[in-house]
Amino acid sequence: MRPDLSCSARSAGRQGHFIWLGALVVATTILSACGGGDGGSSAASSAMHASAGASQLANQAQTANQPYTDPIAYSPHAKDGLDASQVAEKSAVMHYQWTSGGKTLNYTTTTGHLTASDANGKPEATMSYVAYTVPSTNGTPRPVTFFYNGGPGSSSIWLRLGSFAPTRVATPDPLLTNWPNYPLVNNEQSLIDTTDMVFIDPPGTGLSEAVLPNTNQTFWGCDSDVGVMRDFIRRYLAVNDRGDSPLYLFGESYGTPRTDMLALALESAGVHLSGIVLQSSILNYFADAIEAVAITNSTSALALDTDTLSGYLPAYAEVAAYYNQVQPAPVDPGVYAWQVATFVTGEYRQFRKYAQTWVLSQLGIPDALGKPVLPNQNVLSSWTWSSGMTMQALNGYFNVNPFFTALLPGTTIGRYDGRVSLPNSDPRLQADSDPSDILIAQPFANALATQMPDYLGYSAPNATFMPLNDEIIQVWDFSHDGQPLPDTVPDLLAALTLNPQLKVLSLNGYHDLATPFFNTEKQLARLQTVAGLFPNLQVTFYPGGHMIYLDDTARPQMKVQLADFYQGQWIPGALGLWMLPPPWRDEAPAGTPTETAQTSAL
Amino acid sequence: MSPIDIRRGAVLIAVCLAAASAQATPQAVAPVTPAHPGGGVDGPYFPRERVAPVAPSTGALLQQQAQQRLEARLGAHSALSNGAAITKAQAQQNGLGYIARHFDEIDTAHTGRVSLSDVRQYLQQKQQHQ
Repeated sequence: MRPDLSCSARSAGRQGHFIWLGALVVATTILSACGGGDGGSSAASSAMHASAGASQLANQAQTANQPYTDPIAYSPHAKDGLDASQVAEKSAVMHYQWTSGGKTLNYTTTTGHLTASDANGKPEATMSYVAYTVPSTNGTPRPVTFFYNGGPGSSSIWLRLGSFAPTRVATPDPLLTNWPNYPLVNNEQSLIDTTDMVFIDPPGTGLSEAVLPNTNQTFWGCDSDVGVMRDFIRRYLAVNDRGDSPLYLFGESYGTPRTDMLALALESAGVHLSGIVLQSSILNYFADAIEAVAITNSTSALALDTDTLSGYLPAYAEVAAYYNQVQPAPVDPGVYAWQVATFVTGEYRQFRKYAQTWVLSQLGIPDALGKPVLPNQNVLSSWTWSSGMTMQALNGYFNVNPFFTALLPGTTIGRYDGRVSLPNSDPRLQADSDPSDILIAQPFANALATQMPDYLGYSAPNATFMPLNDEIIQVWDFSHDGQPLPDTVPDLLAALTLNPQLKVLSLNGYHDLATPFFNTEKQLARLQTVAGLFPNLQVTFYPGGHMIYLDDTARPQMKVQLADFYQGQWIPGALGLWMLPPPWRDEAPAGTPTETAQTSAL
Repeated sequence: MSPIDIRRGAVLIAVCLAAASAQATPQAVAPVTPAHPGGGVDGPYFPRERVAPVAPSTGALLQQQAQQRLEARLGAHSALSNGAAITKAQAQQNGLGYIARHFDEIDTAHTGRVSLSDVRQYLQQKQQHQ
């Protein structure tokens, strides 16, 4: 069982501190006030100081820190649920000061549980969350943004510790310097000066658990997950009297199809949203032929194979450029993305010949359907000029080995961020083949173990926090609207039908090889084919991977552009719907891109 | 060991314990193990069983799918199924907050009840006025 392998078990020396549990309240208060701490939390503690003393607020009671020790033994397992009598909506409340440039803000962290209940008031799940809030000073309610990661099966710690909260884990992305201990620091790029933030853990992740007669598995499906997330948000708004605040959703990875479906669910329930942010999208699961769909010789399979080969290529080329495998070296990644997209579109028909082999090669079974079909050296050579890629880079992509290991000899490049690499001999790759996942997985879990009690003032001594629950991944019900996998572009369109003013922002990392940006553009471009639709959609791009915000160049850009987005301004350089490349015309046998399809029948 | 050394040792231990008391017990956190190597902390994960490919919908089919999902969310298979008409309070009770919020605009005939076709009509008009 997991608790035996927990981080606290690994840091066995700390178990001696158990005797001090009774003094937890005192300890956390002293820690906050003194800026003490060790390991990962020391930098944060000194960078931030509890504002109880510093705050000018007259009412001391408002600023007194209230740590909380939660006695409930939350379980992440499929068949488990808590009896309603055990569940409590309790939280730790702490006060800190955030600084950025010359700006300072006093903010509050609230860490604990709220109970999501259905429309009839029946409890569904007790859900763990962390909220970062600042009181409004001008009488206008501040926006509230709900953040969640993906998986499915992932808690929200990746966004919470890495992106826009007032503190963050400072990673050396795209390097692995000082792995696995990174400092927790004041986050100058926090969005706390723009929006309040609530990070939610779905049932079975974090410390969230179903309430009986539901069990955790009740909520392990696309539709039931959206229902319980909607009901958590409704509860948060009611308890905190935030119904009048502008509301936003921010999802990453699987969190993006979740957002499309959740936006529709919330709008239908009468919860009006101002905007949604889709970071590193997989809006249509069918569009990834490597992982999702059966490899067959059917026309539709071949079309999806070709879409997938074409969809990954621009991100791969950006990664190749990082490793000096593009000549001449691109001056601007945006301009280069356009060049490669043009190349891909022009060669789409040619790619059809190689698409099936390419998909099978990514799976490690290049000859599963016969002799692999690869472009010969003359063909590859003819592509060097238009793609900019070297022969090494092109050979790495059109290869019987997955491109993650074929681009650079003896080296594995990252899936989340292709710029992160390790020699194939690195022992860490045996348990996790993605160097860019290694970059954060253990370090973030380590940081969380001390951050929760020391900074958030919250601990659950009888439970083990689940950053990622692989039990969920094994049994998740992916079906949605009569299809076996979620294609949520129709849900996004439905949400836009209920709320045509909904602001939509798609954030993309050039070096993300898990949910590549060109795929996302092609899926969003399907909305071009809907007559009379003029969505407030913006698509932006940054140097970085799946967790774009880890990049120290991208994060400041994102902060500025997100601030524009919240204010309803057009982001300089963003693409609107009609600036996206038109969708692939998969229904056409030739598999060629459509002319922008304004002619679609209505 | 001299008495002075013992005293020094005791002081050192006391200092260490005092320092330790300022550090809360770490939260137990499960190790992060990807469900399969390379799946990562955030997926996206896919079902184990591969499915038959479905081409991405565009145009009229995409709109039809959107409409179907919209109506399902607005009670087409529950409170508003089979031509049923509901009051504002019933809309609220059934989690159909959108209908409750816009009830008076949807209920153009002022009957106090709205059906799925009233909702459809309202949405169509709204789209035309965009």
